Amino acid sequence: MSDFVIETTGLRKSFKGHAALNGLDLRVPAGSVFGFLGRNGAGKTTTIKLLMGMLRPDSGTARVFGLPVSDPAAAIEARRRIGFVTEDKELYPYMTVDQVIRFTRPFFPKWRMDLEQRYLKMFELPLNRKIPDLSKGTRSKLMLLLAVARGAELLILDEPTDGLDPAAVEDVLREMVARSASDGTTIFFSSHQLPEVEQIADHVSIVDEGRVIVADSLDDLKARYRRLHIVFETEPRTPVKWAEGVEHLHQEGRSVSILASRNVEELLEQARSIPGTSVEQFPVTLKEIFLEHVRAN
Amino acid sequence: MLWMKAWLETRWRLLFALGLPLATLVLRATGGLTSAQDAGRMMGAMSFFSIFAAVYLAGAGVRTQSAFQGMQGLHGSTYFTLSLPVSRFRLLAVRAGLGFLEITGINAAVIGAAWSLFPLVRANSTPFDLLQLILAAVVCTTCFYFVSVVLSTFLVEMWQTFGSLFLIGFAWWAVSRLGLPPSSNVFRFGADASPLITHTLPWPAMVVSLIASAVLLLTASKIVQTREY
Repeated sequence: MSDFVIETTGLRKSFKGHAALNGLDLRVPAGSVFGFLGRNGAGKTTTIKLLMGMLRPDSGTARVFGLPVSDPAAAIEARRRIGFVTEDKELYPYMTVDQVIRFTRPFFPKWRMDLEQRYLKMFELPLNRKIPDLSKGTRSKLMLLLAVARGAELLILDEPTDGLDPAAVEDVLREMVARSASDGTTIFFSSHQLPEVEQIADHVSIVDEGRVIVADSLDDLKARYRRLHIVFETEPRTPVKWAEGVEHLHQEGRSVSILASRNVEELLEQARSIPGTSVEQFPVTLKEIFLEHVRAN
Repeated sequence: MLWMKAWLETRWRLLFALGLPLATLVLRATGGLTSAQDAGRMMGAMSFFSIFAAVYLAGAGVRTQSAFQGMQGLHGSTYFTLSLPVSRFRLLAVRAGLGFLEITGINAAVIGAAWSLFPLVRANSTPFDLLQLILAAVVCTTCFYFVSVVLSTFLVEMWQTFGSLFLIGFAWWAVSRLGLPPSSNVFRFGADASPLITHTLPWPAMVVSLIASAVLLLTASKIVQTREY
């Protein structure tokens, strides 16, 4: 058994000639809280649908729990172990909260009644109310209940906090971390809310134009990346040829701002070796890393 | 649980598809039938209702169906259904199965009501002939039902209904030009091939309908299993 719950290799998928995935390689370690980031249309939802066996790749492989999910029978087996929150949080409009829970429960032999009751209470879900009468936030909470109570080993959550108020976001994030910590559940979630990802994820992957452009543990990523602010005594007449590791450079007069992804010490030394130069280094946020990469891409 | 979902999805449609012919029968009963031609016309109208019910109650398969007539595309909850550990064939089969049971119920109720309410309809026929007519109606409308099931696998509801009615209308036009004997014509089960008149089942038409239904079900199953949502 692989250490990775999700593994994709060279995944490609096109819709009407437009490449949604362009050789996506992804590895999600077992037990991780994995943030899957990208702009709108970057390929996040397509990836998720492929992992759920709803779409078939044009080429490449996708495995969940080692099962090839492009095979319908294997996908059913994988889905038995996956909790899923859809992007639009839509549920059956003719059912009440109680009915949709009772509908979902029998499909999952490991259904967690304790979690069902806990979430019903915590999210104050109205059992007898019809789905269309729920706010999007309440539907998001209900979907989370339906995903988590499956007793799943893997939660695939597409924008799980979308539509939630800040207090509910905190509740949901706390629960996601709690599930990972207490049951070892792997959580793979997409989000546009970078502070949220930074708050709970231990691994992140940034996808752009259907390819993974950054993938690492969040700690390693933040340890590797630094922003360097360099102020020269006088504006350099010729551009400085910096050592490797510069992801992005912005110069304004005597001042240079560098986002470095590696070789930070070497870059610092290089900057300090220029007479009359002052150098400062700052830690970077995930948002900075994300923005620099997708802009550069 | 898929049966419960299918039932919740179709109950209002069932009520409508059952209520319309029953209301017509009750209204007609107040005036009464005065001739055998009247009775024939009314049973012809009931055949139309049977076919309409078959189209209207056709299974959506994987898709979430609206209460009456959806005008929009795929409902987002379809993805919730697809996230369940269930094969697409099972989703299709359960939904199609429930629709088929509902059509059986509608045919039994409507034909039974017509037979009970109008002495001219039951003249020269026995309760056994009535049962034969119900069976013939169910089997002959099955092929129309599966036309709609096939279209439901790739069309939105509005086009599924109109498309099915168009195809069935075209088939009626084409078949009427073939000069088939009534017993071989799937459209004649309530008219001159009716067991109330012939006292026998229209076997050739029923066999044709069953073969066509099997082919259509296989087609729907193939589409559902290969289609990307």
